[in-house]
Amino acid sequence: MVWVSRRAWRRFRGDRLGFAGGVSLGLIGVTMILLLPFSTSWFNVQDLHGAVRANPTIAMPTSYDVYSVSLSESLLGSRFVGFGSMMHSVAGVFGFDDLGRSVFFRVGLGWVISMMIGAGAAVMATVIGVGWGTVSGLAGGAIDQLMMRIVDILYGLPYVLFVVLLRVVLADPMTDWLGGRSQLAGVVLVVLAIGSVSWLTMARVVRGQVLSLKTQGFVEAASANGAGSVRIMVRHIFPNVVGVVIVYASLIVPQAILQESFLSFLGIGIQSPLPSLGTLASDGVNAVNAFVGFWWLIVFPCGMLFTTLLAMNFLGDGLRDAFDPRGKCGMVGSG
Amino acid sequence: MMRRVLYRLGLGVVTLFCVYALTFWMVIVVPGNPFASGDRNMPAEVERALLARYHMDDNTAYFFEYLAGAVRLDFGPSFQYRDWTCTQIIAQSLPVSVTLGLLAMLLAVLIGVPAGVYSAVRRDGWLDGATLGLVLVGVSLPTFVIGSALLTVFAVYLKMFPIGGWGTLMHLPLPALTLATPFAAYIARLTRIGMLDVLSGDFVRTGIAKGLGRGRVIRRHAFGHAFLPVLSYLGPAAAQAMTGSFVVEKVFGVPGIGQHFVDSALNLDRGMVLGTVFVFSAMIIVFNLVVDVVYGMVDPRISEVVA
Repeated sequence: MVWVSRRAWRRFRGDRLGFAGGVSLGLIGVTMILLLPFSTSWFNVQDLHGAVRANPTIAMPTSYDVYSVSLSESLLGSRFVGFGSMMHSVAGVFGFDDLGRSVFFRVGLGWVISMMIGAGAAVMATVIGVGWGTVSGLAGGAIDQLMMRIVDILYGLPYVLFVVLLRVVLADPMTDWLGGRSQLAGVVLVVLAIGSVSWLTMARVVRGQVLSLKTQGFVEAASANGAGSVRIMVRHIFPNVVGVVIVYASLIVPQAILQESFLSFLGIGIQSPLPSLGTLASDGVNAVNAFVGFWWLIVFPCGMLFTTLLAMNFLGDGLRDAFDPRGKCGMVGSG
Repeated sequence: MMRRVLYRLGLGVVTLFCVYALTFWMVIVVPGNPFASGDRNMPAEVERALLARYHMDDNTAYFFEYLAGAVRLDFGPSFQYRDWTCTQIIAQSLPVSVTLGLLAMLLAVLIGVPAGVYSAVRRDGWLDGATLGLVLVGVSLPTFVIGSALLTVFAVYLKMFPIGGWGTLMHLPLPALTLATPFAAYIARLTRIGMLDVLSGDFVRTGIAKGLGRGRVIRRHAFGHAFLPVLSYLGPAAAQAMTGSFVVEKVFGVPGIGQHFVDSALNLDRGMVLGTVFVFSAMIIVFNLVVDVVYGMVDPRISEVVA
């Protein structure tokens, strides 16, 4: 196992695009997490003294006091009041939106929320997909046939309809369940809705792996020694599918982020005032009519979305080539 | 072949029933009823009478009654748009979405397949670079951003196309192209990988060794193999394209079914939700069946195997 992953790491190091994707994703991530105390306290602060939808600027925001107060009140930010005055001056670098809020800090928080949605959906899809694929592969026979037919059928269905339905239908029950926190319920629901339709490829891939592992000597040996199917699954199958699972999970994340942006554009994604890269991009698209160019409302969120998704796709493809050299399905394609 | 078609048809009917049951369950699970929502404050007797009128007091009976109507394409009255039946709304807006979706699929194949083939044959040429660019944009930008960009450039500044709406041929290219971009990107990717794989195969080498021209080998021998993964992708892609058009419709002001569906889901307009899901699923099942039959004709290996 260790030997396999070392070889995979070496292959990954040789893949310049994948490596660059990983590094840039890491850099963006660290920056966004460092900004988090400020973006959580300031993403909703309105600077109404300046012009609404003001241009990008590096001057101090005018409602200086509001920023300081809301930083000291916030849970995360209270320790950072000292840096606050320094951070004030960057509030305007990406301009202000139609409610006079700093686009910079909204993008900062939106990135983190988008990433949480992507990761949450990927985790959910992984749990369902790995479970489904493992059971199907181990059981074999009629059960395997039935489970894989179900996956085939679900592949062909208009899953967007179900994402919309799940998101809408479960909104009230989920809000009640979370004690009336409708903002949180919105985020959880988007994760649930996207996660519950993204596990199909994972199930297929895992089943394939399990089928090929099942016939190998060490599994037969374990079974001959009297290990039960649960033990075989946990001790012998799971450790050997981890690599492939990580690869496909890493490819679900960017897809989930894109899905969320579609939901946001249709008005059923993350509810305002919480930002996500998807809501910011769709707000930008709606605000920019071609006659008045509020370009910063669209360029910065979309640039962030583009860079992040690109880096993630490169990283995911790089990982896939490293772990699974024969599964040539990369974005750039391996020759 | 016939057995296979019949088998898939039967499977399709079962699938449609399951989809209907699932949707019905989801829409009925919602607490509340369409008459209670909004600001219509009605006496309890009236509400009870309305519920009975639309068979909403007995879910089991309603389940079968609605199903019986649905197979005759009668989806009942809409609660949200008064004086309209769901069938009328669907009949008016669904063809628009389907036209857009199918046109986008056609465009995606016409762009994606040649781009993939050429970028595999002439690796590292300028077309390979352009294809990579298409793929990168297709996987990293939401369609509403691509659409808005196209709209700004081609409709507003160059004035080549109308800004939005539906009805003339000039309304078609921009939304169809927008919707096609992610699919074209994925198809180009599939074709390129399949082509690279096939080009290193024995039969290609044999063909060239026998003195066939490179172009002839690619057209007659390699292309068919490389196209198979694309063909099997078309089924799921069509499902996504028809529903993916929701977003594109909103960008270009196309009067498709997208906004109706979202609104009816938000307003618990049961008939509209059930009807839309029913019709969409039925069409996509039929489309998958067609793709499957074509696949069986192209690749005779598979037509022997039922299931």
